[in-house]
Amino acid sequence: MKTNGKVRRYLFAVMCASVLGSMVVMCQCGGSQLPLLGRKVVLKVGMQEEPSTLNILNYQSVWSGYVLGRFYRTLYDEGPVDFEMVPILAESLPEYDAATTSCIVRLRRGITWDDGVPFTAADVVFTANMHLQIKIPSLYYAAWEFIDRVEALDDYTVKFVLKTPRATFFSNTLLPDNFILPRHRWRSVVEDIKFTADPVGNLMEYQPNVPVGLGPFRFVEWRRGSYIKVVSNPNFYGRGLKLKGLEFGPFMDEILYKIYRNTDTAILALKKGDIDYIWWPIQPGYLDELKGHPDIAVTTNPANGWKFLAFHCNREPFSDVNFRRACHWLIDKDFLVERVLQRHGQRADNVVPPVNKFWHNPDVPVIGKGMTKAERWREAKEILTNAGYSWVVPPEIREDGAVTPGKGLRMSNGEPVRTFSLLTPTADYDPLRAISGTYIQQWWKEFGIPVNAVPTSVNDILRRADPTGDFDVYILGWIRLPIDPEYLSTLFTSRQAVKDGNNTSCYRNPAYDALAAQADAEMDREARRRIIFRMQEIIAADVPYITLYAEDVIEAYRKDRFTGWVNEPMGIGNPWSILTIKPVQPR
Amino acid sequence: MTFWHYLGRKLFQLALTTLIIVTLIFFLFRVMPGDPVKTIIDPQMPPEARAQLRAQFGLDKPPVVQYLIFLKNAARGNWGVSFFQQEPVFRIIMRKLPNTLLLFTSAVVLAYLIGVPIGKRIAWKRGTPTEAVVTFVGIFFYTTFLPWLALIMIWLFAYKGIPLPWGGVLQLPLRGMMTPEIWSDPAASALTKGLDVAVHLLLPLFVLVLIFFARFMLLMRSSMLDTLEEDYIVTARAKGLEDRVIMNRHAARNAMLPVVTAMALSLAFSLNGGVLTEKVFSWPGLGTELIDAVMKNDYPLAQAAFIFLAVIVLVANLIADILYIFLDPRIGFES
Amino acid sequence: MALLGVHELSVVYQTQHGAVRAVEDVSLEIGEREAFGLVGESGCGKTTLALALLGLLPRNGHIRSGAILFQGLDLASAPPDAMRRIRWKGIAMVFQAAMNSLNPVQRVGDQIVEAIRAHEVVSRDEARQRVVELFQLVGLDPERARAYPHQYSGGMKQRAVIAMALACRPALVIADEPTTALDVIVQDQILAELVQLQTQTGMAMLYISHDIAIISESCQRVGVMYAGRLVECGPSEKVFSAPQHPYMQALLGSYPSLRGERGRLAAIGGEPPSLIFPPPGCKFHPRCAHVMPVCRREAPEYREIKPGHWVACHLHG
Repeated sequence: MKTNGKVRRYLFAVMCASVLGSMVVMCQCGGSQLPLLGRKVVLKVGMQEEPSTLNILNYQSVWSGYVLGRFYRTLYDEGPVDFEMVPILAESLPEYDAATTSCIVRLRRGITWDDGVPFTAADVVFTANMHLQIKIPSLYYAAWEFIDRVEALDDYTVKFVLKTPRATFFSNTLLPDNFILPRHRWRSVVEDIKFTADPVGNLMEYQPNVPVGLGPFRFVEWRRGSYIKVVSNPNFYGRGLKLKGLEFGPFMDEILYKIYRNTDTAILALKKGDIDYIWWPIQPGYLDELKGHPDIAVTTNPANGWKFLAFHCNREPFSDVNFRRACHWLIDKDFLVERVLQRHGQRADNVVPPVNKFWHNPDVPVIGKGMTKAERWREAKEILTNAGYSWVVPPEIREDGAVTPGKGLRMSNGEPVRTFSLLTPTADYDPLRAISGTYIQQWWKEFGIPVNAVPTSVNDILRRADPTGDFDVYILGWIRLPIDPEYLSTLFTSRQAVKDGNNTSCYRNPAYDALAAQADAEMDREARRRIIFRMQEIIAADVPYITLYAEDVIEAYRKDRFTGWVNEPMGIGNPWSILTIKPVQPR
Repeated sequence: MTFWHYLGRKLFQLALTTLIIVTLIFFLFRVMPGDPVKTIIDPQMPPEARAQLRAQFGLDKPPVVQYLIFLKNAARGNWGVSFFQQEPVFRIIMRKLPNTLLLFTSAVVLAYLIGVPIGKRIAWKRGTPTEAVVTFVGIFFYTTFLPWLALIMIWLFAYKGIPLPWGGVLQLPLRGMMTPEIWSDPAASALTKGLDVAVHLLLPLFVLVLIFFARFMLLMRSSMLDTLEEDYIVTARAKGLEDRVIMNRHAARNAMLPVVTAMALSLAFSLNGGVLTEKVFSWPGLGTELIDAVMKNDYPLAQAAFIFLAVIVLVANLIADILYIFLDPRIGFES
Repeated sequence: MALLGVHELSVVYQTQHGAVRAVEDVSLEIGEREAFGLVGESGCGKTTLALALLGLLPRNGHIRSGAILFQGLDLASAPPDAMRRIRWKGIAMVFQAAMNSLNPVQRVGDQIVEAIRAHEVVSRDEARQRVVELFQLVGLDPERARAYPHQYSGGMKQRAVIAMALACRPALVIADEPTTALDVIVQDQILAELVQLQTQTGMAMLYISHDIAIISESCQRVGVMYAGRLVECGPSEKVFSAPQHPYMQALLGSYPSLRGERGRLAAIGGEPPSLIFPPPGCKFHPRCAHVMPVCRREAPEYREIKPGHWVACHLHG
């Protein structure tokens, strides 16, 4: 307070002047930026979060994949358009020999790592042995547990020997997240941590300064919380290759990943031209704002996933399959899609969505589609009545549409059905599921089923959604399911109905368990498909889950910047798009 | 009691409070609904994988044992490893803390430099239309919903832009603390980069300053109004001092005392606003880190971030207490 | 020519309940070196009159009419700057609440230095030297000038406040109940010193008090206020020995002995009147032992019944 007034006023003036000055300077910078960038083709991508680390093994979120997946490659991948297996680092499709339960993978020649070291079978064997020894929980059990050993027959031929036949060898071990690591870079790291007390933790903590890969892009710079810059790899072996009518680039010099923590500013940035693509699905509420913009295109793709309602099959009344079936008939999925999703989504009638063309069983019966409430009530009533249920006041719909709500539902033993709770995510987390839960509560109640919808924090639902957990019915969702429906063997089998297991419904069906075991061991894709079809039918009939709906994946990009995006079930933000999009204005 | 005794006692209190906060936060996170192992949603994870993860996170032991292990490690400076980032949390926090401090300290300092003199003057001019208008504006910003205000500001200054009298449009950056195109350009000079950060700072700073300013101004105004009723102000006027001297040396000097403490306390309450600001402006600070960690039940990171913020607030209060000694001669020590 | 001449001064406060006529038609004069005492019950307008003289009325108060002539200037209508120069240099004041009239965060000596330097072009050191003298004058250890108010006892604070009032050698010092908050022994000492200082420095003094004894002892003239009006004014010995107004008579009558024990103005029957809705006629009539019909209708004129002795009462019509 003792500062002289003059001095303070002077300081203030200086401050104001510097602020104004910097503003003006930056205004001019804004102008000079463009010619600078004009020389290079840069794809500017908006991301909501950033990768956890640059360690590809610490693959914690999609954001890690969006960035690190540009540097590393897998042996095979699900191809664009139809998800058929395509060789990536491999030269040809795997050669499986049923007699010896082994598989030969032949590698491409002439590929080098970013530091010039050639890529050989030694890298594949090293990566495999690392997984076999260190057992990273998220990867080991799904992809390596059933592998006996992996050996190099020569520099470009690798032999995988399986303990037992396992179908997920093709979909997991050779596929998505099993990136091949450069042996010459990682060997000392793995050796160092191998015999420590917590090898997994220590391996995850490893932070490469510059990841050395062999993918279409190379890492340049990461300013935490701000951006990640990668440049295209001039030696990328895939350049110029063609697959299913797509020609591979990359046709850009750089990708600049910019972090936007909220959708509102990302939308503004897209409109302003600060970014070319928002790499996450946007809510339908933004559509009107975007549709008027001349340079923005909006894509809609169905999701390979669904929101579902799970019953605790160990508890009454859900232990009765008839009760679960009746509950299914009472849910008006058409209404949910039409009114709650505002048509920005699809009904989910099968645990394998139709978009997953090869594995989806189109003959699974669809419940209640296009039917009136009266028709659906008739079905539900018939099921319950046949199973010995009764009402004090039975629910009725008259010809003129007037409804008499049901009251006092009783089980076949004459005891009233107890009031149970339906856990739904809270409205601030997902308004659609919260509202859907309220409707479902209303539909069931009207029919005389005593239920209370309880909005609950997602973390709490996740904690309770355990085979040993405390719940009656909950609503959650599988957003991103793998193409190979291996999850049918984990979500509904008896061996997973234990603490920490994935069969949260505690659904037990020995016939289904047997089919699952059979499917797991079936190495022939067509034969496996027939078993998987059968499993879908059983789940549809026994309803441990009611699949409700799938929200469409809505995305937006600048059509004045890049063209040639590849539409896939999870949207246009996929590795194929990044390899094939071309700048709209030629260089 | 000497100053050093006083400081020692205060530091001891601070340590004790920190220990209590650490304990509370530790157990609070563990009774909070949720299970970090369950937040990994993956149908491919068999039960044994989750059990292994639980052991890796150290969550297989009883909470009291976990707590003792945590205390032992914390005493050695090891705050644990983030479950999901797999990085020592101390390093994560140290990386984000400077960004938060940059935004917050500059906002607090600016808001103080603007808010306190204005609060002082409008209290002096009590009863005039100026006072009514400025007070109304202050209350408006004080009670305003921060993300809403921030989005309006972004839309106005960063999207629409302000036309300049000599042509062109002044557009501030939309997000973050740097322009990737400038920072990733090897040719950009340090000065350009520095100015770039300054320009990015403007908008979030503006919003935070508006809100802090309103808080500080209203605090100063009410404190000043109380002070102006004091007898020594009448004495000062009777002495024939100039208004400026009375306002500054007699009224404001005394009115500052409660404001210093209130400001340190208001820092604690402005944390939520700070977190929201970081989120809306995509500012890479501790606040967003904290929210993410809480959402994912990443105990080590969430508790460390909380403890850090708590300690910052405690230290701010300690500084206020010490500042108070120098501002108020009534709290004296034998030298 | 008197040092201070107050002519038909009226002061009004605007309150939520209406206009309070705190001072009404008061006229008085104080000569050079004169000690003038002002007595009256609480709320009779004594302090308001003092504040009006210095232009320090609270925000809701203003001078409605009248003039305050001081050194040839009408303080009632003086511009703020002129008023500021008169304060402390012309008229200084010892406030009722000496406890709180010092700034708690400023050294006592500095507060006095500040007053000196606001009015005189002197260096800080010269002003400090003056503080030393002033402290000695009021019986304080000059070393204590560097201390803060909270380090002083009540009596010391009062002495410091007196020292501060004398700092610019004012022509007039207003002492408004300067000793009320102190214990009796200290009160005595300080009063004695104040009286001594007044004669010693040759300043005039307006002494406002409940305390009739000290005023009779030390003031040449005395004024009696009731409900905002001056009801009697004259030489001390006359007013105290032969009070003319029934109010003053009642006050002195209920008083054991003039030279004896000291005490507050004694309670007399009835309540002081509301200043918002004052009774018609003479404001004292509801409590007056000699009330006449005319008292209820007309306000008595303030007139000089003997040379220098003024009274406002119908008994002296």
